[in-house]
This record gives sequence, C-alpha cells and structure tokens, in this order.
Amino acid sequence: MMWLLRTLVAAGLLLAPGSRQAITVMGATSLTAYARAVIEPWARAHANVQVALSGGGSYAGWYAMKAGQADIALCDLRFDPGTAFYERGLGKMPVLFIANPSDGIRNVSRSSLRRVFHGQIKNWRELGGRNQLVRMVVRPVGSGARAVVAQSLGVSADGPAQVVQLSNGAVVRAVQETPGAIGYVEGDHAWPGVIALKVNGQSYQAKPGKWPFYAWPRIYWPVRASSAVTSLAHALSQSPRRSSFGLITGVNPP
Amino acid sequence: MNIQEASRRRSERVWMGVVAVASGLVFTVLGFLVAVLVMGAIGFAAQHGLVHTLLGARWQPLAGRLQIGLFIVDSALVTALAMLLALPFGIAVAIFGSLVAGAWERTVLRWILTLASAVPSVAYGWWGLAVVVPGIRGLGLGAGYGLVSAGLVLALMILPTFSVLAWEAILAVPEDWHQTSLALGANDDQNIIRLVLPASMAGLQTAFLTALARAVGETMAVQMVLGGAVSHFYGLFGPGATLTTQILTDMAVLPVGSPNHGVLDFMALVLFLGVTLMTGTMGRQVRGRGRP
Amino acid sequence: MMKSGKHLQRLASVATLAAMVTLLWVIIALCREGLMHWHWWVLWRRPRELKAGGGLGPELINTLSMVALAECLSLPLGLATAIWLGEAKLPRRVREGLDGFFISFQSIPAIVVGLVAFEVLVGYFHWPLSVATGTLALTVLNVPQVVVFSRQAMAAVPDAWREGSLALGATALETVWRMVLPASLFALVDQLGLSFARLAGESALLIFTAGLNVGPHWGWFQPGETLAVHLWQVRTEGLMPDRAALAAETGIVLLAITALAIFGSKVWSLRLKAYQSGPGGGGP
Repeated sequence: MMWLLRTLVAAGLLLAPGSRQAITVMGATSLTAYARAVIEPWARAHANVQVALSGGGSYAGWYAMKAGQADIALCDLRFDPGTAFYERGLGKMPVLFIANPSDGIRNVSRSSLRRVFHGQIKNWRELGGRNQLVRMVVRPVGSGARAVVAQSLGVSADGPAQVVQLSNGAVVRAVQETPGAIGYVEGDHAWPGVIALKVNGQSYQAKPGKWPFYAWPRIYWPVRASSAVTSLAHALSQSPRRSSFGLITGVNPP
Repeated sequence: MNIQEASRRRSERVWMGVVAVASGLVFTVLGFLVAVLVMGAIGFAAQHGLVHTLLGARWQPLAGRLQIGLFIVDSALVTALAMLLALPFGIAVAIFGSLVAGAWERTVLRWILTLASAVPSVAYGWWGLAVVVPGIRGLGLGAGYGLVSAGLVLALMILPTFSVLAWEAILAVPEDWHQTSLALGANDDQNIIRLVLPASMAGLQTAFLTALARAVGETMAVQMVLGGAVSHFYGLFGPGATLTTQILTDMAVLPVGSPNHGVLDFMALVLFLGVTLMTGTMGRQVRGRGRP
Repeated sequence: MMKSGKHLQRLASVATLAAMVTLLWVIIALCREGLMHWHWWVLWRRPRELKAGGGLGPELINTLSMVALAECLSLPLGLATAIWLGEAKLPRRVREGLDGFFISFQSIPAIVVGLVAFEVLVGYFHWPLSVATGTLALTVLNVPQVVVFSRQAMAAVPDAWREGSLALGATALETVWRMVLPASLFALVDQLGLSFARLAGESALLIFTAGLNVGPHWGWFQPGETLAVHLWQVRTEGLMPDRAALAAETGIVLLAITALAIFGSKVWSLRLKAYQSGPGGGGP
C-alpha cells in the first residue's frame, strides 16, 4: 500500500505552483477562434508567460475579469469599464440572417423580419415564400448576436416556440437541416447550405457599408495589469488577422 | 507470537487510519462542493422565495425573473421518457444475454454494449441531430427538436449502462434456483416472471437508480436536441429546457460573481435532492420486499 | 416435459436485436464520418485556426495525460473511501445514506463540478486554467464513480468468504487487502476502462478549468485543451475550411481511445477472472 502514499506525495510535489506567469483570457465563444489564432504566436514570442483561453460567454468573461479570475475579457456585448478597466473595440462583425433554402425566401423587409421574430408570421407563404411553417433558430439570452437582433428589430427576449442553439456553428447546422428555419449568425463566413437573406433589398456582401446589423466585439482588461497582460491585450486589439475572422477594422463603435 | 500479534494490530490501526484519512479527504471535498451549492441555493431562495421559484414558470434571467418550475417538469418528463424506453429494452437485453443467448451471441452482445458505453455523449447528440430530429420532423410533429427527441437520445445513451448492470443482477440469481424452478414444472416464461425478475429485483433497482442518476445529470447530448425553449410548455414534441441544459445555457448570463448566480446552484441542488429522494424511497421499497 | 412458454424469451431476443442495431447505428455513423476523411497526420500536427491541414497532437497528449493522472488520483481515494464505507463501524442507515449520496452525486451535472473547481482553484488559489486544474476537476468528478463501482464490486464478494477469513484470525483490513480486493479485482479493472472513457469524453467541465487552447509544449500549468473540448470548439465556432472533417476525425480518435481503454480493461479483467477461477489459481 506504500504506492498509494508515494503517489499522493509525488502528485503533491508536482502540483506545487510554478514560477511562470499565467494569463487567462475568457469570454464570448464567437471570439475564441480569433483569440486562439492571436495567442498562439504571442505565446511563442513570450516563452515565460502561459496564456490560457476559456469560453463561457461575454458575461462570464466580464465577471471573471472583475473578480480577478481572468486577465482579459472577450465580449461581444458592451459593459461599463468605469475607471478601473480599459476597453478596446476589435472592429465590427456583421450579424447575418440565414434561412433554409426550402423557405423560398431571399429578401425580406425589415418590418417583416421583425414580425417573423415576434412570431406574428407563421408561414413563409405570408411573405411570398413556399407553404412552409416558420421555425426560428436563435441564440440564448446573453449572446451578442441575439442582443443585436433584439435591439435593432425591437424584439423582446421572450419569443414564441424557438429552437435555442448555443453557438454560431450549431445555429447554422440547425438552419441547414430544418425546413422553414430562419436564424442569425455572427460573421460572414460563407456558410454552406443556407441562404444569407437580403434585408430591404440590401445584401451584406454587395454593400457591407449599408448593412444595418453589426455586433461590436470588445476586449476589457484592468488598468492595473502587468506588462504582459497589456502586451497581449494590445496584440488582441490590434492584430491584422482580425479581418480573416470576420471582423471589420478601422471603424469606431457607436 | 504476542509481539507479532501486537504489531499486526498496530499496522491494522495505522492502515485503517490511512483509509479513514483518504475517505475523510473525499468527504471533505465532495461535502464542500455540496456546501457551496447549498449556500448559493439558500442565499438565492432567501431572496426570491422557495415556493415561488419552484412552482413558477417565468424565466428571464437578465430581468431577474428566475422561476424553474418549467425546467423541473421538463427534466422529469425527459428522464421519465428515457427510463420508460430504456427499462423494457434493458431488461430484455439482460434476459436475452443471461438466459437465452449462446456463448457466441453473448460475446457479441457484450462487445457491442461495451463499445456503445465508450461512445462520447456528443456522438449520441450528433446521432440525435442526424436521425431522431429529422425523423420526428418527418412525422409532422414539429421542428424535431423537443422533449421526445431528447428522451429518445437519452434512452439510447443509458441503455448500455443499464443493460450491463441488469444483466449482472440477473446473473447473480443462483443457478440451482433455476434448476429447482424448472424441475417444479415452471416453463421458461413462468421462470422469468416468478423467479428471475423477483429474485434479481434488488440488483435491477440498483441498475435502474444508477441509470436514472446518469440520465438526470446528462447535459450535452440532451441540449443538442432539446431546443431550449424557456417561455412556455410546448408539449411533448415541442422544444423545452431541462435543469441541466438550462444550467449549461445560462452559465453564460449568470456566471460566478453575478448577482443571480445562486439560481444555478439552486437548480443543481434540486437535481441532487430529487435523485436522492428517489433513491431513498426506491431503496426502502427494495428492503421491504421479501426474497423468494 | 414440453416447455412451451418461450414467448418472453422470443420477445427479449427481438427487443435485444432492435436495441443492438440502434446502438451499432450510432457507432457506425461516427466511424464512417471519421474514416471517410481520415489522415494520419492529425495525430501529431498542431491545430490551425483558418487553414486546412491542422491536427490535434497536443490535444491527444493532453487527453491521455490528464485522464490518466485523474485516474491515478481518484482510484486510491475512491477505493479507500469504499473500503472505509465497508469496514468502518457505521449504523446501517448511515452506510446506506452515504452509498445513496455517492449514487446521487452522479446526477450533479459535470459543469457544476467544473464551476466550483473554477471558483476554488482559479478564483481562490490563482491557479491558471491548465492541465493541473483540469486534472483536479476530473478527479473530483471521478471519485464518486470510483466509490460506487468499488462498493458494488466488493459487495459482490460473498460474505461467507469474509467470515471465513475473519474466523481464520485475519483482521478486517487484512481480509480486505488479501481476500476481498483480489477477489473483486477483476470487477474493478473492468470498471476502470469505463471511467477512463467517461473522463476522456468530458467537455463542459474542462472548458472552465483546462481551457480552450494548448500551450507551446506540454506542462502542468500549460493550458490543456483535450480532444472532447477541441471537438466542441471545432464544431461550434471552428472556421478552418476542413472543420467538418476535422470534427469527425477528432471524434474517431476520441472513440478509439475510449474503446481501447474499455477493451483493454475488459481483456485484463477477463484474464484476472480466468486466473482466479482457473485450475491453477484456485480462487482467492
């Protein structure tokens, strides 16, 4: 039975905290792919710092940073930074409405979009589409994309029978597979098998400048942060790779 | 001889101490975990009212309306559906495996069950998305995401665990009891109903409870096919949300440190207490029943 | 005498066949998708975010090391607790209550365990999200399972054997150590693979404790994304062009690991059992 004790002792020794600095980046899942891409080369250039990334959503990132559990918060919602935290915009990211091809819809007016998400339009026939029941696929409360849609369409959080999916990828998949589905996603990533709807005749791809639905991802970090945290925060807020991840740079938040 | 005996007693005490310390550590850690939940839950219930929270059905986490009645109902329905489906099939597998199958079939059955219990729960979720959801939709029963889909996927997920445990419970019935029963003129059906099932009842109950605890706690696969609707009850084929899926979903809005995080602790505690309650009552039933 | 009453057996056979076909369907669907796009290099390459051709080497190493370490920590602890529950002089009701506690504990969603681990280890002790934090969280998740299956395995040893050992003058712990444990070893080993598989498939808990990325090399306090977490990340927010293939490949690597663990432990367990009951072994 000595092995039991030895195992415990060995484990205890190994678990003694190290001397290297560790940074935790936490927040919106929609930004984790971008964060992974920036952190990888940054961590290689700063061998004495370890950077860990976690998801959990904008609120989780914000509260964890406020409580000192995380060093940098990735958010696609706005929080009040006060004087204790820095806030930097990462640019803007379009929120696109996607529909299943069977809906027979390519263009919707803004007001009918509102009525769809209010549950007032039950069948795509009412909008000139096919005889197909409308099925909404939405993100959960607290997602940046949902906040953008709720705000710009004036839709309350409490909707009719909706299918809630936890991520962009899951929304796309559900819309691809469900006849009559409509949903929304962040970023213009040419998702396969779905139709990106024009709104009021505007397509995002043709004229991004005129598109009305944008999320404004931001990062937050404490004013009293170590130089390593500051350096990583700058890397995250200024990386030229943002455009590859659907972020449009060179614009200021409203 | 005496010295040897004394040193044996001493080492017995030492090792019993080691075992006690190790289990003390386990109880401390798990107790701490439950205590964290209890503290959070009490803090929340004190503020929002216990009955109100449990029986209400309004869930708007950002507006501070946090009533979990709907999730309790959905959790109960999904779990009940899954158990109702898994129970006959699991017992059938156990009966087939222990009483009907030949050596070759038994081996194949074992391997399949083992492999199936190795499949990560996300894979069951995918299968649900690829097969169950379109299937339910194809029957014209809504969007396909809903309580029934979740119950089906969950039933399949716990089937391997449940059938293996049930199988072992039936195997534990002594061979000579079968011989006696058959010699007394019982046919195979009577043997199963009058001897095998009653005699292995305690083991079957344990298998059932273990599977039930797993089913109640399963999150990822259920979330993928459940639909996550929180505003109303949309019927068995409509979307819904269980306690576990809603903890997962609203972890994003009510993270640690936010004012209403306690409701998530409360929900976890409701799950824990609910299962404990069921385990307690069922366990007592087993004890009350006589052995054949 | 003719035995005509075989209806139940026939019913059971049909139901078993249906259940097995459905389970095989799940397994084959997963394998098919993964094998269609299979590339060996995913096993050692590092992941990429936007380009095709990334792998999951670090995730593979993290999964194996974290789960193995969590087992190393939770097995002795869970086994000791099970022994204590069996041997300590407890009133029957208390013992049953504690057994029930461990069974019920399985219904607490893993993510809750992950959150408390996050609050304590990251929030209070300021550990980074890392291999170490994730391993400890997995350990806490696994201990109740180990206690439950150890209790079941040890309870399966007939009381008469225990009484015999005690009557021969062995102490309670000597009985456990020399007789009960060896006699239930095959059952314990059998469950080991299942618990390994369950931990390897865990994702929700690790997102909060081990992180969503990998460090430049393996280390205790390096971020420790595992295969299951990577699978989740690729499926939900992955932007690489080959994300569908990559998710399927990750899934099949994960399935291979869990299947190997389970089959390995099964074979080992059967050998132990054969050894114990074989002519040479002569029982415990």
